[in-house]
Amino acid sequence: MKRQAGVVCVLLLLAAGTVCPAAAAAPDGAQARPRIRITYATPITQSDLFERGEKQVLTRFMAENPDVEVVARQIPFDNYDMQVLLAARAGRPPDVGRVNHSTVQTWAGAGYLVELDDFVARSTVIDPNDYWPGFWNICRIRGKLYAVPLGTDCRVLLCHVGLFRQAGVRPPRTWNELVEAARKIHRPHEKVYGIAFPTNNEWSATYDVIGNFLVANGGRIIDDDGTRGTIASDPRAAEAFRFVCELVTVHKVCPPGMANLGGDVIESLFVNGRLGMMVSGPWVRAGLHRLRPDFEWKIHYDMVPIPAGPATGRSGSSQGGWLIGVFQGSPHREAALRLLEYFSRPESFALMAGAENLPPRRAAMSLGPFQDPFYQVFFEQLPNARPPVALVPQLPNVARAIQRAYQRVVAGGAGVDETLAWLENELTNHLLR
Amino acid sequence: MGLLLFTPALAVIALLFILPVAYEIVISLYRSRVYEASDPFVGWENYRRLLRGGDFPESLGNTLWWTVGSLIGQGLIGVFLAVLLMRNLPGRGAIRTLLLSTWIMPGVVVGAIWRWMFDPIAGVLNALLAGVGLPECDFLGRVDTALASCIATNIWRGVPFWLLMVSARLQAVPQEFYDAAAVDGASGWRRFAHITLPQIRNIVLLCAMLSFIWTFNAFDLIYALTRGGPDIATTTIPMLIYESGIRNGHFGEAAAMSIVFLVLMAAAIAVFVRTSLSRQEEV
Repeated sequence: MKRQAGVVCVLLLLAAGTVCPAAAAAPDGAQARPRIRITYATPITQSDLFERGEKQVLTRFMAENPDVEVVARQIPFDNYDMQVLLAARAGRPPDVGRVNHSTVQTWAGAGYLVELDDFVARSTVIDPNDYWPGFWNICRIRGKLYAVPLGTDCRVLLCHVGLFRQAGVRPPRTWNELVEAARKIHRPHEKVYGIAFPTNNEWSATYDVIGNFLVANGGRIIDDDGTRGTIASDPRAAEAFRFVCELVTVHKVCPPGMANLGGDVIESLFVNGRLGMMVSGPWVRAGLHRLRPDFEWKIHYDMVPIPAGPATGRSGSSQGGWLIGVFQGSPHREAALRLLEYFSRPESFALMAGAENLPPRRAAMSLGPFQDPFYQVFFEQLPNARPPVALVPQLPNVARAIQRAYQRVVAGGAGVDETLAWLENELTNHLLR
Repeated sequence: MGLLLFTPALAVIALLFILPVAYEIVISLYRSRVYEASDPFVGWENYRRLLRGGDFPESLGNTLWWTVGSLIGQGLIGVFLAVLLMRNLPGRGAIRTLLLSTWIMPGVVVGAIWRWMFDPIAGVLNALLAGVGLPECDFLGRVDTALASCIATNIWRGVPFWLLMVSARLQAVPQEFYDAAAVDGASGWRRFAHITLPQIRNIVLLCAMLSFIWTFNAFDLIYALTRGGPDIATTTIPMLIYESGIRNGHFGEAAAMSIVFLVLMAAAIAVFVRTSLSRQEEV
């Protein structure tokens, strides 16, 4: 009996100990508000990138908003879109999360995202005029705003300083100069190659291979309303596709395996002095450092804008990036919108510079990390960048078809003209229907 | 009373097989896409789309080549090695163990190993070709060699299973059969054709059926090697179902493909079983 009474006393003391500090923390005897828990979905799963970027933003947000607890749901990039979509379809979406620029139309069209026009009109943080207009407009679907930009990117040409010096060539500014430089660098018997692009997935083939030269040359793969393929009938698009294929089939300045080459192999060749040129975005520095910590920009490699297309005479690049949106069905919409607004502060973009995106708004460009001269060439490239394909709901299929067309030519020996005709027909009569 | 005893088994079968297949059939009758808010009923439209063209016919052809090529290669090499290892070779136990280790490896690991070996820049196979003065080859990156390279990898992976099964059966064949044949002056080939083959026929049919099921369904190995490329040179039906259902979120179309695939496999297994039974009756 004595023992039972002792246990009851201990439990009562423990309960009192739990309640009393909470009551003491409540100001002036007011009752403490229960914490709202919201989920934030992100495809950033590399711990170092997440710790340096989004986690810092989330921590600061929670410090300034003690009534909200944010739980980050990190989903690997390869499965991100599908897992978030399935959760939204099942009625259990995250409250707020990253939205890929390529999927915002699809998600908004399916009714999974909250319309943000009224919220943005009231916001003192989000200034639409401060954002890059091209990327801001991606968030507008049928005239309504469903997300705001979180980070953007573009591609530039990386040149290996040592190999360029050996070959006695300068970083190229036109397509002809690119071919000439690649030819002089390319020594396949010594396993040194001119130029390479990642081709082992549909997004790389579309954005990093075809897309950069297509945008530089002013071409269109599909028409703006997303109903018809134009890659064969638009001479600028056809010229870009032909140029990229002929680097492999005619000029022969690429390493073997160009139909299915991974970005990791390309970076490895580049840091080991076996590749003269590659194309990449602002995330490249961290990747190259991981492979070889002493491989430094300006000492071992340099960066220039994508060489100008013959039809336009100007550079251009594929543009991608991330947006942030609030999901329909979130039980804590107000808190989710607060987090979205917090992410849109210029200081937050500066914190996330570690995540290797460029800031989507100009106000952040003057902040610490973006004053690093490393970013200069990207800011030079950004005004001439755009997504290489109109952002239709069938985009994954369209990207896969583009990859297949490229592989048909470089791995299957098909002619460029017949392949372009096949691709345009596939787009118009099957994929975009 | 008899029906009552069967009920738990029937319930398990219904839960694990009939219900999922029925649900799959239902989905295949809808235009169910992950990015569309509603799923309209479209009847047989998803099935008609398969027959109208697209990638399904070519992927079906790839699946047949992949399956038949793998089965023939695994069967011939597996039986040959089993017969060879019946002889008193030094270290045959170690050889058997070593060969078996390839069979227990997950397909993704096998794919990663062979992907590295086939690599056109740093792969060991190209180094060997260059060493003997032959031109290098991008085995997995060429439309005309990619599927054959995948089949070769699958043969390497599947041979130990055949070796194990056929060896076990061969050890049960009475030595007297061979002694009597030797007394009659039968050559090695005649002993193989008239004693060994009839004795292992049933186990070969069993191995063929199991290998057929595993190979026809295989996904992991091809995914690790080529992801179905280049173009669709190595896209088999399971790869196409994955692409359509998991990557693109076209559940209705993927479900229709799955049902057609299930019917094709069931028909093939029925033929196997029928052939196997008729052989047993002949014996």
